[in-house]
Amino acid sequence: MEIKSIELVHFRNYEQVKVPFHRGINIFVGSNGQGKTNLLEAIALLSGNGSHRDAKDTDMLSWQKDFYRIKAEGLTFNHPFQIDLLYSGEKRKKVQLNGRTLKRIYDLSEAVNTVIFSPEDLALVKGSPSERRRFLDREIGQTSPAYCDVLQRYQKAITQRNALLRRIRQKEATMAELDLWDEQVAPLAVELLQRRLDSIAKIAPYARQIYNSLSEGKEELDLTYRSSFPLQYDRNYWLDDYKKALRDRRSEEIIRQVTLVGPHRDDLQLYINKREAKLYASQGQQRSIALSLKLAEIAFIYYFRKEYPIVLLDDVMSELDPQRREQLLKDLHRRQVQVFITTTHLRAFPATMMKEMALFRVQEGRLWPTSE
Amino acid sequence: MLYYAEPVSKLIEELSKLPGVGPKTAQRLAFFLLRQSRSDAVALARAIVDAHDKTKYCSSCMNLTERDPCRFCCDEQRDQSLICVVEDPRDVVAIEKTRDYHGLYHVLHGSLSPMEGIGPEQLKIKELMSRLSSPHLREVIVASNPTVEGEATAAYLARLIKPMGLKVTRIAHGLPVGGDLEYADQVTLLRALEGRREL
Ligand SMILES: Nc1ncnc2c1ncn2[C@@H]1O[C@H](COP(=O)(O)OP(=O)(O)O)[C@@H](O)[C@H]1O
Ligand SMILES: [Mg+2]
Ligand SMILES: [Zn+2]
Repeated sequence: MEIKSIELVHFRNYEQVKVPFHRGINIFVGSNGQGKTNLLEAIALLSGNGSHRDAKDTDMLSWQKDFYRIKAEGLTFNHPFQIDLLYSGEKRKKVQLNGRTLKRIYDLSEAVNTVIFSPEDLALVKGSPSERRRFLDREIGQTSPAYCDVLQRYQKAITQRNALLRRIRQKEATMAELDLWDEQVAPLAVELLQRRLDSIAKIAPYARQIYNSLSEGKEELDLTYRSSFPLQYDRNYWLDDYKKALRDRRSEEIIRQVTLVGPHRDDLQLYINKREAKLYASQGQQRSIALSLKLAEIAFIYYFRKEYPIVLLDDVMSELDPQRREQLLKDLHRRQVQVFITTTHLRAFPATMMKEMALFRVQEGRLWPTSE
Repeated sequence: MLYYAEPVSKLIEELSKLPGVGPKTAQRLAFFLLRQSRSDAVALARAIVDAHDKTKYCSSCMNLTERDPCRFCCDEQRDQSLICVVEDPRDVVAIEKTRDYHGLYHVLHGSLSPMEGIGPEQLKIKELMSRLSSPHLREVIVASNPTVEGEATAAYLARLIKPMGLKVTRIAHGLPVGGDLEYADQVTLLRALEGRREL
């Protein structure tokens, strides 16, 4: 999988740029606030699961402009593709893949998958459960449009159900209506749960193995899914389990006017040597866990697709020690993964690899190839 | 808005209430309308008012109509044993285009959506229930949209109508016929797979 070129118009601080990329490693150098992360964000949008920093289209639109456009050309399984994203103020942007308008933006994952590493990844370990759910949803979603579909429908159903809880509290709706929405929410919740657990069963061994080698065999990483309600061993009972949980919490939910159980409240728990990482992991261990999860995500995508995703490394080179840095780049290079790296200075890069790379200077929303 | 003459700001404000029209589009539309001749402007204004004044809901099926009962409800040739329930008058037009459905319709004017304050009371469900005692009726086809709200509405209707001994069916969602599988989007294809039937 490879992006051959990208064109940005009125995107963040880019007025208009068009650049061809190297099929291997691309490095964007520039001081802070010049537009490096913005560029990675644009590339990440090509995989159709939104901005990696959760930005809205209105945030990404250049100030004072009324549309932004991202066009890209690339190859997947040696077949050329063209992507055209156009946002011009409506609720949803217009997305074309090979000239065909897509009804669902996440269908772009047919052409492009991306995995992004950024300093904020540390929040995967110490942050709230929503960070870890977002990681799961992005990861699974890229390998399965069906997952994205179920997730969106579930979120919509929960939003409706929460609105209904408010109306019941204000005596504007009946319990019979709540029964009805419970029936809508439950099968979606169970399907999400099953798909998440299946995916974790695939990703956990990768993460474990990677973490184990990062810690030179000294530590073990475990991933477990924590459901917000009790589940029986047999999946056939999960629908009943969830309906029971909704019944049990109903009066509390009406008072608090939110749905308290379901996949939107679940967590992915991380353990190092059987101790919960959220509570005990050191700064160094947190870095290694985040790195392991992201590397496992690459392996996971490869497992399903038999093609590596595009890897985006935002300011993380300086966080790794020189040995890991070189190891990571060598691995990615050996697997012929296309990589985009941002950095404020080139010191971080092993000299031996410099000839396999393309170098770009980023300054005030402009971008040009450079040789030093 | 401060910079426009008062009547122009008013026009922009009204236009921006239209679905899918933001402030920028509203401005563009307003200036387009102002560049047109006065007679074009009057024709548009009159068409809007006429559409309002000269249509009403059919007292039986709740479709938009010029005369009550509407042409579907008056037509004795139509199959009185079938009622197809839709969310919106546009859905009636879509189904009529098939020219192969000859039953009756019922328009709910929306779907259940607590967010928008739409419960069963806000939809034309009471009106539907009062039609179900017709001795000719055998089947109610629920053709609400395949959205979360449309499915909830369908489930609600099924729960209400089935105990009356009527057959309640839900339209299938799947591939457009004649379209190549190759061009179907992935979720549509997936739903079609889920809805597969034995041959
Ligand atoms: N919507 C926008 N329109 C114009 N400029 C923007 C927009 N959003 C962010 N910027 C600018 O982009 C710059 C930050 O770019 P970023 O890619 O985060 O920098 P870095 O090179 O440090 O990664 C800031 O100067 C900010 O003002
Ligand atoms: Mg940055
Ligand atoms: Zn009628």
